[in-house]
Amino acid sequence: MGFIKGGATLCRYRILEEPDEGLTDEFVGQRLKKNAFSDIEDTPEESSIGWVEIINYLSASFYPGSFSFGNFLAFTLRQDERKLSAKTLNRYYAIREAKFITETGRKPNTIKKTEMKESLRLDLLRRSLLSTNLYQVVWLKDEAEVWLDGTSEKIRALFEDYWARTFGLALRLIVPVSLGIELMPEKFHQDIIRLMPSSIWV
Amino acid sequence: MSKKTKNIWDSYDFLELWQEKLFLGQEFLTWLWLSSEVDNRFSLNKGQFEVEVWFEKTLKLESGQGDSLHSVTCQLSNEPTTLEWAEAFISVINHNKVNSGRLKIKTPEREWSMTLSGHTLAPKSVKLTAGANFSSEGGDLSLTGQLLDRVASFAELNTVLEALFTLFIELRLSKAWEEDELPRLRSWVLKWAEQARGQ
Repeated sequence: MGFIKGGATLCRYRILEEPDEGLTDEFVGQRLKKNAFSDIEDTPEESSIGWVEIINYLSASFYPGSFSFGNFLAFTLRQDERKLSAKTLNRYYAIREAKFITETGRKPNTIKKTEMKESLRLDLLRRSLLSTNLYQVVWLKDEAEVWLDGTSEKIRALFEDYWARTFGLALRLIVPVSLGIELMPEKFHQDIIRLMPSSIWV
Repeated sequence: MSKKTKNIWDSYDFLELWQEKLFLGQEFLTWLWLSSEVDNRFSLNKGQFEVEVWFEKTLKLESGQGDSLHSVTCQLSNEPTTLEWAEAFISVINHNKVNSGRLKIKTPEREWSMTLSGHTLAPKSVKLTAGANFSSEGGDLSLTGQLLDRVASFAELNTVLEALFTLFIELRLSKAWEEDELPRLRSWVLKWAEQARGQ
């Protein structure tokens, strides 16, 4: 929850284009609603991903006051996951297969085995607890800049994919060389590109 | 939309250029650390404001890439008799560059601590450790109030980091990098090495 409390990470992106209809609360709200998180608490689904409100990650109503804060927008990417290891599945399958053999007096054939395993997998998924990951996002409107509270490649890929699906706006990560190019006048850009490593010590 | 440059990226592949110029982040951190050891006050934006910078706890230094990557993690010594960052200075003399470090930045109004890595220069685990609204954290402000305050604070931090990086890039592109800046830092490291030998 870095942008509200605790330690925050500022993984910075530059937004390279503007929505055709202009950057309005209506545009952002509609896109967020369309790609909102849907709860899988009472389902056997393995994972779910979508946007939730930054102040209350249990809500995805996205009325303007919940994501628009003057010169910036803020929301959270929520990912819920259930994990079922092969070891656990095999352990419970062995019990179910033994019961089948006792009841029928024969081993299940390949088709029956697949059917039993899938039914068991869904049962176990429904019974397993969900883990929730939250990745907060701040969108600075005037600077065309986005901050993601996370820097790992996995989190970045997840965010970049979901951002593209939601807003369709190209992003570019801000890294040392691109920051240098942004900060320096155009006449220095080729000089930055031509720079070679320097020996701090000789 | 953005006032920021994008035309140059028509001619260069972003990922290739990022990888090719990874050394910029490492050189920036090495310069920032050594400079902060010489004098931790930096005058930024042509004297418009001043900040204090100091590294604390841990520095990770690296040289080479891929299979030839050599990495050293150095802790700030707590022993009063030992020179601070002894291992890190030796590592610089051995041609390593700072790849990440935990540091503090202080302006007249605020103070932040964060981890910076040369890879992206994205500040990680940023904490507002002093200054305006510091005491409000988790206090009377609503969650929305905290969000507004903290976003303003992080934007200010980015402005400071950009000003520090601009100072570095301006130096790095000028003759002064080879003629003045590196000799200044090297002579300081040598002075440190003489002190270390005397202990």
